[in-house]
Amino acid sequence: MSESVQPGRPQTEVETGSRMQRLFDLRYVIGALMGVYGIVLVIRGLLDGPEQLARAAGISINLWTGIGLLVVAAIFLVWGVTRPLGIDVEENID
Amino acid sequence: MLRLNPGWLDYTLLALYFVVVLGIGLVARRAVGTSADFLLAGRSLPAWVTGLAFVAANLGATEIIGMAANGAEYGVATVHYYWIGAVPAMVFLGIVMMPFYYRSKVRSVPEFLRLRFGNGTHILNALVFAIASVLIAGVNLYALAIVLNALLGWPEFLGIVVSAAVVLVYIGFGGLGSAIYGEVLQFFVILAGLIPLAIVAVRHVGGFSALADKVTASALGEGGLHAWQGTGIGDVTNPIGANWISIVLGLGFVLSFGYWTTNFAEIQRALSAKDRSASQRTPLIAAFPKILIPAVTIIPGLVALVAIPNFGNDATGGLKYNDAIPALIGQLLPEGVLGIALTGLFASFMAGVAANVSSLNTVVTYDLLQPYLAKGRSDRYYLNAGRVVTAVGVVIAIFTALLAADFNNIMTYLQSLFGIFNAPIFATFILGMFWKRTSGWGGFAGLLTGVLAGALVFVLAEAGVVDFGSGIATSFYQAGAAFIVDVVVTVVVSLATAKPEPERLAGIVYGVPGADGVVPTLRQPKERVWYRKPVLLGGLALALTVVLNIVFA
Repeated sequence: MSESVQPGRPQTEVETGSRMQRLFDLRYVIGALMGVYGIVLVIRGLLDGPEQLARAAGISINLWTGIGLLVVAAIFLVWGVTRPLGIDVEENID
Repeated sequence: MLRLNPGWLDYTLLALYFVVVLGIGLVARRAVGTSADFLLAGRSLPAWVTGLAFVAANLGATEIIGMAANGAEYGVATVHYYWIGAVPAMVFLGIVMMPFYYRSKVRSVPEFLRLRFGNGTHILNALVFAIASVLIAGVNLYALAIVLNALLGWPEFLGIVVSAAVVLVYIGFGGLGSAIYGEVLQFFVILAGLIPLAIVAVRHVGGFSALADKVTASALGEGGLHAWQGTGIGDVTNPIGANWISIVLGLGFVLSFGYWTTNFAEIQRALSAKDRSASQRTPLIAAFPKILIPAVTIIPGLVALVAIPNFGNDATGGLKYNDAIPALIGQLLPEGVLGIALTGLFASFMAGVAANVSSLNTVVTYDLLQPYLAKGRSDRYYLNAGRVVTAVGVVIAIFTALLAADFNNIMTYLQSLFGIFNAPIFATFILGMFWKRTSGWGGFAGLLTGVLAGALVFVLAEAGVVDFGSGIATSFYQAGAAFIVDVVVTVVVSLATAKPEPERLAGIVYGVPGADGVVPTLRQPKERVWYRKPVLLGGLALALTVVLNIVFA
């Protein structure tokens, strides 16, 4: 891993996250997994019949959980897109 | 009967989770170049990641299943484990202790003791921690195997080996970084399973007021709905069986401060944060989910108590308290959410194992190998050592789990014993951080006698010589004795022995300037936005806790 020095730029130490973070942004992983779970549950929920409803005390629990998961997924994906890694670096004040 | 009937969809959701977790491990492997990458995650993670990992590391399934069981057995008073027994200590850690840990640049909690008190205390603490981690990881694996056996009919051995193998792959490749990323993911999956379960459970018994009526009519009675009522001194009628002083001092002060502020499996998450402010915010961010988690553990416990006939009377063939969550999952969740809940259970078991193994490899490598057993090797040596320790730790945990299968009671005793080790250590840390005069011998003698005092109370209570009323009350008194003896002995021995050399104190004790000239104080980092101010976050968490305590008093 060579940390290349860019000439002409101030050589201050700006931490842009660990190698781990630079490899992949966890927000996308959370967003993707929750999103897939959400889509699957919404489809399953739309197909649910009286048997599934009766089991879950009358709540269409697959549908509602699916919608909840899609909301969580959307929050993380939007956050990841609007605040990409590397911008959030100016809080190093101690 | 607990057996679930998951469909292909449920298994697909579970398999997808395994694929993602293993994928994180494989990708994270490329991020590991040095032992610090592997064992410390490069000290560069943002606070929300370390904060969620901090709370998830404690969301092992023994915790979730155990707290639901407590909810069924003791009722609403179980919230003390969260609101009194966790949140104040987490806030204290974030605002008071984390600055000292982070500044000292230690790589582990035992290493702080080495800097401050010398090798004796260090080795004692590192060894106890290493042994405890392996055994607790084993207990988690065994608990998982029991649940898999009951729910899916998997043989216990298969359950133990499969989940251990998954943990080994993703931690063995990616180290602490993938353990932490995995924990954050686990946090969301666990809640995605538990929240729908709690909602359906309440609806199943006809809503909150019907639940309250049924609990009042149950074995718990009216006391089962209150956290503080019936905890008067000399007149304890609350099912938790302890008065308010032993709850506040024993659970709230000694036990929980000992666990949350010195347990390296937790502190390690905060130490891997990218700067001091983020490390301070780690436990503070974790406090907010922690405040709300009882809603998804205690409520299912109470529902199981009132909705499942003969629940908690395993002597007469009823289900055990520990079966609350698995039984409700099987009874109430249809295919789909069922798969998510099952995945959440897997995730929480693996979180417990992963947190212990990923702190074990750091302590063995940096606290036992590097300073004593294999000094002055190359970094590559320690990186490989970390990997080998991870593998060996998982293998020992498997054997511990198999052992636990045969000697169930022994494991319960061992866990109580580690509780004894945890309580006095908080006293040693606080005196070490804030009282310059605390000497190396003082720290060592205090820790040792504190542990012995706790052990003595435990043995006397087991032998029936003293009786504190309930198992919970006993653990409070035991922790209290350990703490007081530790403080008294540390102070007396410190005053009787020579002052510690100034270089032992530099930069890690309150008010003693370090080599860089910076004086450690409690001055908080300046942050521009409110949600990054540690004191504000901590204050909000405490205020919320006070309000909830009043509401559920």
